[in-house]
Amino acid sequence: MAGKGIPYSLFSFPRFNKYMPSIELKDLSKTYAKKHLFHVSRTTGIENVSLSIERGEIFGLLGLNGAGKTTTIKLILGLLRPTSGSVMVEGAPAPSPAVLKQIGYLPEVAYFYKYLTAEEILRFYGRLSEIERLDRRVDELIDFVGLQSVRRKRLAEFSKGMLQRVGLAQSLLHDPKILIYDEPVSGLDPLAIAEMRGLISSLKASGKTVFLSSHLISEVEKVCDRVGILARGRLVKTIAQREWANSPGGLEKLFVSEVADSAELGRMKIQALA
Amino acid sequence: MNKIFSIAYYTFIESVRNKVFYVLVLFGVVIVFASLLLAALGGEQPQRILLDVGLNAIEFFALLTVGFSAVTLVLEEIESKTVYLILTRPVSRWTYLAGRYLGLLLAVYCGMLLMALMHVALLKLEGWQFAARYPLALLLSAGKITIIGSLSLFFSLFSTSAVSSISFTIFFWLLGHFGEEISFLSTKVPNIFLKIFLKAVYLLTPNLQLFNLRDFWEVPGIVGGWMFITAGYCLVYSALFLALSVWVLAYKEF
Amino acid sequence: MTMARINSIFFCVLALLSLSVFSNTLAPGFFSYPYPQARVSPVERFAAVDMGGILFGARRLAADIAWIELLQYYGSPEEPLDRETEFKVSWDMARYLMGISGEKEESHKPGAEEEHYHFDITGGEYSGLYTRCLRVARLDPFFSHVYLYGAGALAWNQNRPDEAIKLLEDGISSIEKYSPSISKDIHQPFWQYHLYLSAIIYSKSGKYNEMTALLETAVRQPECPNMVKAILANIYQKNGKPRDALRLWIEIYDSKDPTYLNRSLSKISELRALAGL
Repeated sequence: MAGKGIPYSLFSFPRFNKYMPSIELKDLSKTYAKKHLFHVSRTTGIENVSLSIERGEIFGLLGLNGAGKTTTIKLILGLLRPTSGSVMVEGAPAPSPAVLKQIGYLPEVAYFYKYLTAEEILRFYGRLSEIERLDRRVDELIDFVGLQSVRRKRLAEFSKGMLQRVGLAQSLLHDPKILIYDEPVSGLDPLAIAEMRGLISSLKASGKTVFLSSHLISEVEKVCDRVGILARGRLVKTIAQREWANSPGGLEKLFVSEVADSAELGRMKIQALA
Repeated sequence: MNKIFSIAYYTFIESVRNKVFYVLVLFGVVIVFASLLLAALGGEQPQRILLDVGLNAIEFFALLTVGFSAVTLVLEEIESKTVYLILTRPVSRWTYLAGRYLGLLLAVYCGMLLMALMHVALLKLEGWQFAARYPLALLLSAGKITIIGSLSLFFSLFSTSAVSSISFTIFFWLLGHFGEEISFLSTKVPNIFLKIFLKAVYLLTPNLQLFNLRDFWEVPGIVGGWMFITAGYCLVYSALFLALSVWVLAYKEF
Repeated sequence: MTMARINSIFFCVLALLSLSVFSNTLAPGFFSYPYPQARVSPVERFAAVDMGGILFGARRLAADIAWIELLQYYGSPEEPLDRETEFKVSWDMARYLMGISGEKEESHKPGAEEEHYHFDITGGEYSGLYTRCLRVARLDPFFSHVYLYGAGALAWNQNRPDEAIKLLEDGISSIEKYSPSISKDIHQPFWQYHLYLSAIIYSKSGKYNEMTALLETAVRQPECPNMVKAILANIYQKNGKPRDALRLWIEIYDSKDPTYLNRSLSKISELRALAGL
């Protein structure tokens, strides 16, 4: 990828209504109902989550595994329907085709058609997003993510890092205002993590809003302007960057203090070993 | 419309790059050639046997292909989560389903055409005179497969299990052909409730005998009059099951 | 998807359902199913297979398979073959299928064809012939060839004219149920049922000249089974008309019917000698 940052010609600076939040969640709840033979069991995904993400902000959603990060993302994207509450994106109720046009999504694991090549899949997604001058745009993105040499190779033969790059390319293809990245650095090597960090910073400089979820505190505190902590489906705290920068122990200590009791498994008895 | 065609095109590519599809078409071709052996046992009727075995093989393998492929079409996509990056784009669920369905049909039609070309070549070698009835019979078989394809898609979404989806598809295939017998039965049974039930089954299930010209080859007086209604019939039933599939997909969460 | 959207899909489904039910009520005005109601197969052991064919909408294919079974039944000897003869029969069939000819060598041996093929045997029970013909006809009542073949075999080879008459009457009533005018249409093959019926009745009452005249008409039809041609040829040969018999055997040979290949070749050479050609 271009380590110097994204060429400004690739993306347009989005025009925003200054006073409208980019993403707004109001008392959002999701309960999963599982049908058994004689009863229905319910599991809380998230409960009464209210959140407002500003334009051009990089917001990180932190939480342990099973806290509800992916559930929140899926609710914004319309892959799940809320049990109660609402999701607004750019002032419009989500999801709708108009709303989805403004969102670029990178899932945790690359879910692509393995039988297609990198070029074919980007062209396919581009047609679905109604991109003008598609061929040129695909060439630009392939060049940007550094996949020129493998553009005609089938995705079944790609490594995890290469698939991640294809994922990034498809998320940026339609020049969206909002990027939603689910665990973007999960499973990446240090070089790729550094590149991802650089990309996210460049996206902010381009005026995009980035909403990412992660449980890697070290990465989140390097790029995010603000962080929300999810524990057992509830948004327990939102912290601004200056807050954790000024706090002894940094973001990690703040995070651990909020989520310590909500872990699925008990704490390890490390002192007993010593 | 462009989005439907894009999804259809890539579904077509997926189908023809799929090993299962290849194997089924290959089997169909093999059976068409194997029909030569059966024809040799048919005494003075080799052409008839060659014709019947070939047309039935083409239709049967198209049924298997569409039945198995409909399962991978959406169900497998949901399980492998490849559907995420489509539904998180400005693509409505009905656009997505229509595109997948059309792409699958296109691939199956191509398979049928390939088998038909081989079949006609064999028939010509046996001295068969080409009849306009042949392409008509093939077209009507394709109409049958169109209905069954939409049925299969609906069952795969409704049942969320590959085995039950294929079983339901075959069951409706049988029911569609047996419909006329059910209609006969309904006129003969004395019990009024059974009569109504049988009549309802006949009216609700698609009548696949309308598309069964390959089975009426030597029936005298078969003229083209009813074939025009079959096109509309095919569209209506396919649209019905496609709409039902969209309805089921609308409630699905991922 | 919004509830409004889901509701609109629901109404769309309802509308399409009504339209499909309407189409199903409208369709009989344009299309009438030509086959009669399915009945249990006359040959019990094949009842399930035949019903399977009907269920799958493959009546013609089921009829073809039943036809092949009939030919296998009628073409096989009543008594089991000894190993040597069975071996010879299998080799002959295999060679034929592979396109290796060798019939001429075999045909020069006197009575050789009777050793290898038991088609058109006079004598032997074949008690299941009638029911097997009926089985094929139940599956496909428009398969005229089975009626003509069956009637010919029953009447003249098996000497069971009553069964032949029953079979043809069944054919006539089947086709008349479908369309009374079709049974007498000379452009369709079904009128030949009446022809064969008349010939059999003449044969029963000993009026061989009338019977022969009718059979001569029958053999001129394109759908005439080779067996009937062979029957008439044998009648001509018995009545001292080798040239007429030869003409018919040449026609049979030209049809390339594998069941008659050897026999027609041997008959042709025999009749050529008799006719002094």
